[in-house]
Amino acid sequence: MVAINDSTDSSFFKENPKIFKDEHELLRYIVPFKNWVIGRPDRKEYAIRNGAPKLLLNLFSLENLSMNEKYQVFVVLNSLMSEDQDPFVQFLRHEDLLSVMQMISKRDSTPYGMLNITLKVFNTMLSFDKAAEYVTQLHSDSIINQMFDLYTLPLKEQPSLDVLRISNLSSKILHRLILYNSKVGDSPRFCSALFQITNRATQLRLYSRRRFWNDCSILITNSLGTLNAYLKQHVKSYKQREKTRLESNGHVSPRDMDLDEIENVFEGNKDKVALFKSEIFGPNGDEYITQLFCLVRQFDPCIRLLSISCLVTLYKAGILSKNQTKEIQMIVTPILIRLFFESREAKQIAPRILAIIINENEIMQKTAVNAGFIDAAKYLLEYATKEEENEINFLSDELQSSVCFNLPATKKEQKNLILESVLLAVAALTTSKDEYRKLIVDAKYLPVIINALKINSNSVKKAACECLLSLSRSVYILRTGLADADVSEPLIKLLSDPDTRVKSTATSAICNLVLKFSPLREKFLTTNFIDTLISNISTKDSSLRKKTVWVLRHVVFGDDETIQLEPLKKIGASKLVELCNDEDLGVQEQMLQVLRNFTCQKEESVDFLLKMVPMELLAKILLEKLESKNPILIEPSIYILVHIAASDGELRDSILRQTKLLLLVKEIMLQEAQRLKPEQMSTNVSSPESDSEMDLQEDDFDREMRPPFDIYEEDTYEPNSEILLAGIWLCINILWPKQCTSPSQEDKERASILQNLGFGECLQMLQNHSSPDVRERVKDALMYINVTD
Amino acid sequence: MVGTSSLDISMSGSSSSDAEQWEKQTKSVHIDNSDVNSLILDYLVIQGDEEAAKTFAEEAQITDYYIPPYVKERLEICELIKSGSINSAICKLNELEPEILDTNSELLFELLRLRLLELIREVVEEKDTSDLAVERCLNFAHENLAPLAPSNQKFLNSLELTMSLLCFPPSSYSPALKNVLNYSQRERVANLANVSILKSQGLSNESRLLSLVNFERWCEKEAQRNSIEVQKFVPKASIK
Repeated sequence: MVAINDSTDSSFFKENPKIFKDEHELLRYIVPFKNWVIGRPDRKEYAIRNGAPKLLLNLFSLENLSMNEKYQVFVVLNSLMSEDQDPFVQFLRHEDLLSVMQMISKRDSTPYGMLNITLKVFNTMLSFDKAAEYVTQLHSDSIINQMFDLYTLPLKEQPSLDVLRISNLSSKILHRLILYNSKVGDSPRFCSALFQITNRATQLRLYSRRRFWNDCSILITNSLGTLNAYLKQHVKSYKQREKTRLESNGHVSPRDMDLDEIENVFEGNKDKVALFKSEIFGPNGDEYITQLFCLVRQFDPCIRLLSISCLVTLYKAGILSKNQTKEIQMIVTPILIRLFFESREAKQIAPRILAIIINENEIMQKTAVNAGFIDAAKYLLEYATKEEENEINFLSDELQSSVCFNLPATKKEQKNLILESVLLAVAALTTSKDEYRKLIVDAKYLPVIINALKINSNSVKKAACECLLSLSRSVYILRTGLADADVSEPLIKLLSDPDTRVKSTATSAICNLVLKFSPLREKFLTTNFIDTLISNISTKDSSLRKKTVWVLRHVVFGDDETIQLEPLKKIGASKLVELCNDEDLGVQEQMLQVLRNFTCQKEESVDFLLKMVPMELLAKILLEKLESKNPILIEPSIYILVHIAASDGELRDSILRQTKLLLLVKEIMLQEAQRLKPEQMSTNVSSPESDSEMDLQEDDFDREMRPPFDIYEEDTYEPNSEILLAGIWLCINILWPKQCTSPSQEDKERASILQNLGFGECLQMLQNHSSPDVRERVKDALMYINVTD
Repeated sequence: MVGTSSLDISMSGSSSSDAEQWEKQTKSVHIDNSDVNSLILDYLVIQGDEEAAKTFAEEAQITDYYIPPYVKERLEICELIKSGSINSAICKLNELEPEILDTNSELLFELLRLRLLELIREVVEEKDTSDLAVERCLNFAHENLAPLAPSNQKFLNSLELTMSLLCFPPSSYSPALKNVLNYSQRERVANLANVSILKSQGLSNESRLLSLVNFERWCEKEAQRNSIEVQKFVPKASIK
């Protein structure tokens, strides 16, 4: 296999590809082969296609290879791997990795040039998952020690280009190992070394007449990248410990809590913060944090970005003090916005970091707006969407040598990344305040956001959906800016996107747009839209399933009877029951909310539902939900009964026959009455008008590939008076008199049944409830239940 | 670097008083000998003259100086390019900095184009006018330059211009075409290789002395263009 023309160095430019029969022959021609492939993508591809990876790796196992031969093999490997790494993955054996590690371990007898190229190849090998797993599982300690030793060379030896480059490569490898959860042993010592090297490189940059400027800059960025990975790993492992502690204390069940959810792990507890700080930094925590703030003010955008990343990791974990948080607000946030106008790398990363800082934080949002976010982000959006003739592209030297930013190589991908980052920042800015949503709409962002829905990049489409989701949380924007926007067509199209994450985020955005009062509702409610929703209901992805049912919940709540009935008709009875018993609690809840909204409209809807799901079966389902003792299932379940009871007398009687169900409702009311201190009352409908804002705030986001602001928010388990009110409404609706004048015999019988079930006493008890809403409704209920007297 | 002057002369006017003012101020600029020495040493280092650099540093009593590694090898590569031995230059380059041609496609393209020019020169200068020689040129361009050219519009234009040497008789070459075949191309590519190697070794890619000379020439031209009379700059500081 493998292509070179003939054996002489002088004629290797001629094209008569020859096949190497084995690794020995390849070794004989290794130098002309090297000169044949370097810099030539077409030849590399040919060589790789014809089996070069296997032969080259086989050379590792040959004994008695001279140092020069080894060097040449590594050079060729490095060159071929820079073209395409995949073909090497399948041929890389554990013994090959061991050989490379052995070469690194003999650093005293290995020339720096050799060590340099070996580290490069090893770094590439570690980008293969299997290789990284093998190294981190079986050789983690020894390799971490070796890399640490090489990384700190500039502290021990006279600085030279080779020393700096070896240190740089070692820091990249350390970064990779940390990403693979390798423990760094003595953490404060490791952290201290990172800061020492950063300082050393900063000094060298200044005092060496710029002769090591580039390599020192790369060393600083790599060190900061490694530091950020180290900090993140520590925060993650602290969260893991915290989660285990909470689980063992019985405060939370494992499935209820995602690690990312524990955002501020320390809850302002100063002792815990101090302990954690000393765990990662040793005694010099504040000194290091001050150093990071100094680096934020450096000229180099990469150094600024990475030091900011480290600080933001600490900020999000709640480790920074009040003053340091103030510095994040007053210094870091404006710098990030200024970085929008800097290098292409800064354009891609700065908005993403800013999104993390400002998400759901009104103070930071205000600072960002005051620092000129609206104009700066608009400039970036224009930059990212501007067509350019020459799409050929390269990264700066600095970034090419740094693993800290895993940035794409082509200009098109980079522009998409910029677009995605800015859209995420816009989405973060508009999470809470209408004022900022209005600024965004007035600055004419909407056309760009809508166009982004059609761009051929999943991340961009998803980020654009996030923006629409944030903007549509405002009733004002829904009725003004978004009213005329042509969003329905691209969003409906995204519901059929091959990427589940895109589908899921588009569904979230649609959730707000199909609310009863939304001017866009009509544009969405087409047969095609309903059909797509119904097909998405059967998805395996529980988050998408939940969001889809959530959309249906809003769809069925409207005036148009045809549209209202269509989804249920298409779902069918068996699927409906299946969704009520879905493995995901959120899906169960939303399906119950669909039925609650569906039944609250007209008597016909109740009839329609009970034809699909007979009363006995429905009662059985509802009983199960009430027995679950889960508030998110209890409330909609009782309201379904409330709405059925409101329709006609026969159905009230059929509810009254469900003694077990009613007793359970009473039991739940009593329990609620015992522990609640109600705050407010709501209507007896899961009214989209009244609770849509709340619902949407609680909407969950996908967790992959997203900054921490899209943390999954489980539905709240905080008690409120909704369940109590639902129970009272049930009593009222069951006992609602036929005529206003005097109670009929039927009314008295119904009242008597409820009295016998203990509802009378239960309602009496609620007369003095602290919530005025509860007291008001109880008065009515008592008036009807006491007709038996 | 050069003196400590803080010249603030407007070039918008052309009156004699401005010219006098300029002259007065340039005379008042003090150029420190050690600065000039550093500039010369920097020039020698960048140009790859290691021996001369060491001798100069010794004579100028400069103790804190840095001579980058592999100066001799870098010089050798530049000499090979200047003499037209492109294959050998590429081999040496791959030996010295194995990643340079993988990451610097411009340098690779220029080297290969220079090699093509050498082949074309044989045809144009009638050393070998056979069809075989022309075919050799075409094959070389097809196999070596054509795969690289589409990645950059500049490469495409340059290749087009080079290939057009084969399309016309040398007597009808335009000045631009004649320039393509000029030996100064070797010098240009050698400089490019020198700068690329220096850059990959983390050094500044141009001699600061040359930058200053170029800047001074540019200023002169600008002054002429704006009809400003400025005396030619003659450094009065002597070099030790």
